[in-house]
Amino acid sequence: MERFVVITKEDFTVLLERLLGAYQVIAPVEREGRIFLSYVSDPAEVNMEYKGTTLLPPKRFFFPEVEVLFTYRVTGGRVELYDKLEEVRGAKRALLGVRPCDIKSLEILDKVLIGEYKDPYYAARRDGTLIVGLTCNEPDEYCFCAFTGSGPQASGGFDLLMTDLGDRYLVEIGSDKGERVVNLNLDLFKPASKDEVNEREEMLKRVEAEIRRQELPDLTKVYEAFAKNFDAELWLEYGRRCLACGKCNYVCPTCRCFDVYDEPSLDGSSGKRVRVWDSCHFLSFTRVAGGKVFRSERPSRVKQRIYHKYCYGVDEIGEIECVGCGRCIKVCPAGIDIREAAKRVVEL
Amino acid sequence: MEKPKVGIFSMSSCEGCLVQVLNLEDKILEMMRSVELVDCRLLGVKKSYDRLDIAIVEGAVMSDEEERELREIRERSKILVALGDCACHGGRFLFKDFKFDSVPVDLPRGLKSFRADPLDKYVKVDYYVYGCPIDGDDFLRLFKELLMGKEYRPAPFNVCAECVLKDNECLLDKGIPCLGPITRGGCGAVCPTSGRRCIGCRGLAEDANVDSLIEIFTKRGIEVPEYLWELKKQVGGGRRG
Ligand code: SF4
Ligand code: SF4
Ligand code: SF4
Ligand code: SF4
Ligand code: SF4
Repeated sequence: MERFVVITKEDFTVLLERLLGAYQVIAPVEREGRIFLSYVSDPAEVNMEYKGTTLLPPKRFFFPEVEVLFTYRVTGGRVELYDKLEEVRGAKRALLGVRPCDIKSLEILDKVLIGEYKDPYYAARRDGTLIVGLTCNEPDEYCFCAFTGSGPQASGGFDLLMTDLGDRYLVEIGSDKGERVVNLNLDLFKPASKDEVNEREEMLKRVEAEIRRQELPDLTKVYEAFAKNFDAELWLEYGRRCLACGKCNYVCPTCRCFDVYDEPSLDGSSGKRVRVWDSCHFLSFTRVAGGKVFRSERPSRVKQRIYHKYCYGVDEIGEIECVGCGRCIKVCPAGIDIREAAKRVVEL
Repeated sequence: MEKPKVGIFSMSSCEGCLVQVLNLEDKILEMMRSVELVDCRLLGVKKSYDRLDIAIVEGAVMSDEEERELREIRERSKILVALGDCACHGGRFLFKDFKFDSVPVDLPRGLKSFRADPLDKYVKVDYYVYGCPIDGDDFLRLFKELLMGKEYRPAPFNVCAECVLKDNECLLDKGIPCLGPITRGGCGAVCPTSGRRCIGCRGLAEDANVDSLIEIFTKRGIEVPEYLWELKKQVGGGRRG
């Protein structure tokens, strides 16, 4: 099988219809000029022409913001558990229009959540989901993936990777799963010509050059600079500005901290265990029994996030955990810009 | 095991928070099966009792009489819960002018001045249920935690955290003076989600950074309202280290 095939945009709509018959499809949709990832039921809802990133990252479809892990019932002194994992396991989903930066973020999450300790809920959702990426024809003003080594090229982590070539898509096959999809729909695909593959390379080079117009250091190599400047003055400045709202963590495709609580019924005879997203900017994040808060000072919380992205990730999984998607910059009400912070640290 | 004795009391208020509780309908009935309600004017319950396990108090303190009543409730009760913004903060939200402590007026019942004080100005409050009105589910959660002998923890985040999960466009980006960044969350960001700015009905967030919000308003050309300057005097930049 060829690694590259093409499909016209018309035929892509046919493919979408077929996918909708076989999978639960999650795709970018546009509402009031804003792009979301959402379950869709009609090809007309899907918007594959969007620029930049979706506001919330794909992680919520693998690690939802609120998730019931199991329910329980107490009968005659016995506790019966019903694990929600059963429901998660069966699903067959296709996630379309995932950007290269977000594909990389899923690979990072895999290392953490299916690494030394395995999160069965996340793993089951990952297993059951086909990843169809979409390269960028145009970055937005917040994108800096070229400096984090996570875009605009994608070197793996997808089943299929699409590139918009105007009236058709070039599709790179990245896995057996992806190949099966192509094989099952051979009437829609043609082998790609050399020119078409070159066209994609030219396009990605252009996007990369555009991103590189920002002057940033190579962010995969800022560890030492960060290590040296843990007590630098600039952290106090960011701490003074930060609102501790946690928006940056919620929108970050690689943040995966969570809290777990139980929700019993009033008579205590049944209940559920729930997992929700957490944020290292919240005071409660480091509150322990007895009430002590370890990171009560705001600069220390600002640092926790940024150091986790550029240093602790290197310690823990061997690479930085920022994929340069720019979402945290876009949503921060206080204008805290992680690119700028990293640049300043390197220049200290 | 004896059922915990519960009393529900109102200081000065619109009783809207109690209505939220009553709106829980079948859940409230179920709740009442786990406790013994001994005192509640709104429901016409008045049994004789000595001590209370849980006192739920709604409304702000507006007279000496109410102050006396509140102190008495506190003395009889193991746990005292402030229900709603009036009880928690004197019903001021964040966007109201914080300057008044007492306004001279002629009111019925011989009152000479207007005041609206939070319960904890006079007595120790064990738990706060924030909001105007409160959220019924929050109240339910508190109730369950208390019955199980656990600590009730209000939402640890501000309104923005829930707002971003709703995929909302930030109102600050449209030049609207939203108070979400300094307001305690837990409401599900209902106001911003319906396009209205947050007016701080749940009171200040745990780690509110008023200094920064003022800077943000200024930078975006949003006029800084008087009440923010007043708040700044009280809390400034919060915990900044
Ligand atoms: S830290 Fe910011 S730019 Fe980096 S991956 Fe997270 S949200 Fe994207
Ligand atoms: S510690 Fe903070 S930055 Fe790191 S993953 Fe958790 S929430 Fe994200
Ligand atoms: S960060 Fe890179 S890969 Fe992600 S949307 Fe922007 S240009 Fe595309
Ligand atoms: S989004 Fe900005 S203000 Fe909010 S916690 Fe993150 S850095 Fe702080
Ligand atoms: S609209 Fe208001 S609550 Fe929502 S994120 Fe913006 S400032 Fe926060």
